[in-house]
Amino acid sequence: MPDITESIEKLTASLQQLTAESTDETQTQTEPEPVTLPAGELKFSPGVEAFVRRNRDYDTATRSVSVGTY
Amino acid sequence: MNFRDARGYQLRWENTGLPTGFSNFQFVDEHYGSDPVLRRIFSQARKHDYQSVLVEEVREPDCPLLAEENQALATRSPDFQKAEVHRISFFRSSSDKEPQPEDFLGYAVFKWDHLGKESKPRARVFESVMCPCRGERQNNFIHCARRYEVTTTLGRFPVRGVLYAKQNNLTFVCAHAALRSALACVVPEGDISYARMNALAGIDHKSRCVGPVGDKTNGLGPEDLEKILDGLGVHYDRLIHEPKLVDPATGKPLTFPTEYQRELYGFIESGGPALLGFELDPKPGETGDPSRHAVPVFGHTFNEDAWLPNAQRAYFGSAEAYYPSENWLSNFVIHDDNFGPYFCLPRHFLKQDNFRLMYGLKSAPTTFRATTAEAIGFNLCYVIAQTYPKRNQFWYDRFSVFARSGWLVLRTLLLRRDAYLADLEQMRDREGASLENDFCQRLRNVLPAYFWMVEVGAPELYATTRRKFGEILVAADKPAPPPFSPSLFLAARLPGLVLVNAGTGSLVIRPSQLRGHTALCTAAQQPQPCT
Repeated sequence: MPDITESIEKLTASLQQLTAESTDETQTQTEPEPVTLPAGELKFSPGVEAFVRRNRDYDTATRSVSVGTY
Repeated sequence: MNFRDARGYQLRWENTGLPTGFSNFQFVDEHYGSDPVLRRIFSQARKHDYQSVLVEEVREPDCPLLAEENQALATRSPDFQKAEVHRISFFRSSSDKEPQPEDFLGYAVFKWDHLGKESKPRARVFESVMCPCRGERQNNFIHCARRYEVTTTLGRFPVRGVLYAKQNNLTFVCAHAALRSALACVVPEGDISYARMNALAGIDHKSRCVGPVGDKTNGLGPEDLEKILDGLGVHYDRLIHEPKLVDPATGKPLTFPTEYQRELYGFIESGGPALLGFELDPKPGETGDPSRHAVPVFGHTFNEDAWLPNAQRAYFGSAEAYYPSENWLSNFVIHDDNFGPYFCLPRHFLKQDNFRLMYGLKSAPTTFRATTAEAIGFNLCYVIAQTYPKRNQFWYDRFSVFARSGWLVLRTLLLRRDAYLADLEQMRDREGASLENDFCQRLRNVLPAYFWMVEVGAPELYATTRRKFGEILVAADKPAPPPFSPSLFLAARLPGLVLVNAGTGSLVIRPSQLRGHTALCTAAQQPQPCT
């Protein structure tokens, strides 16, 4: 039997926590002030970087390949 | 002048409704040599419950395109004698009523080529534009259909569809026909002649011929296709999968690194067509490389109850931390010149092993494709959600939970700025809130003419109500990553906030009154002729 519950449980628990917090009267909804996100913090995760690098490298390697007729 | 505009000479206008006893089979058998493609086109007219068929003869002096085609045939085959052409039009109205524009269902041009050495003429459907039988209500999406007008002896009528064409295997082959269908979706004229394609590819029917030559059959290679595309100024991406070849730099086979279907979907969903080339299974006794075939792809079907998105991830090992919207695609919609127009190609039928070549036609140049843009968009969603996990707003907080749990659905389109801004201006959440005007103006000031839009949703939002949390805008004209450049990130709109990258080194996150989920963008689904 595949274990598919971990991801579902994580999502469900997070949504339940949100729901509990929103019904907690001590939580007040406040309008957030403008905040900034330093552009330098925008970096690739290792998985995303590997994916886009693989795509780019393959495009480069096949740029001049021309075989077959249709 | 093409076959749509050429003068016709009426041969018959017959009622075809079921009570009349008219038989499509009998008609095609008696008049058109039991041609299977024409029988399919008639069957599509039947699905529209057509009530009459108009048959007209088109003569060479009235149609320069016909004269051009005949001249090419005469050059290729000195025994070519003459051609006959019928234009067959289909109507929802019967022959006792004056047809109205909305009665017109489409047309087919049927051509007989007489060659002296052959006892029977070579007959085929030369071209056809039919109104597709299924539309968005049936979960069929054909974004790049065009409007054509046809002049008949009953008047001038419009039809919206994708042009179908069939090879004659003498002056044009399957790649010509497939490329003609694809180009018809994007070139301003809505069509292209084979003479022009051949001129661009250097095929003069003397020093270089297509079709059978001796014991070989010549087709178009990628360099020919690119001469045509480049000559027309059409933007495209080329993908190849040649596992029998080796990359000299790495020594590894040239196998395409991701599923070709995801790339194909990226082109289609952005409103562009694609040309798909594949290798056939070898025939018994066949020597040499197996034959190849090409088809145009221009639409897709959608299954909102697809099992695949969950199953692929849970049971079959995909480690992706989001759901590509392509997971809900069931079929690609294609023409196959051998069989006719508007067939559904199941997503998993044509396997990666058979895939060889793809040209995705685009409305603007891009430095990388939709799959890379989507990966960047996913990364940005994750960074935003990690940085600001909670803002005490119902829908933002759910976006954040879905992002951090790996449950987002992402859909990526190449979009024009004007189309995006028009979509923004009419965008409303369930409470009726819209985006503030100053945000629209700010985006108008900073966005380039074209960019990638990565729409961000949850499975139940995307598949059921076709709605989303928001979107991440990614530059389409910056160098392909890696490395990651902050300039790739243009802007983000998520529930209750907007981020705009003004290039100052930090991104200001501003609150917005638009806090709910909103409808998916349909702007890319309008025809976008090449700029």
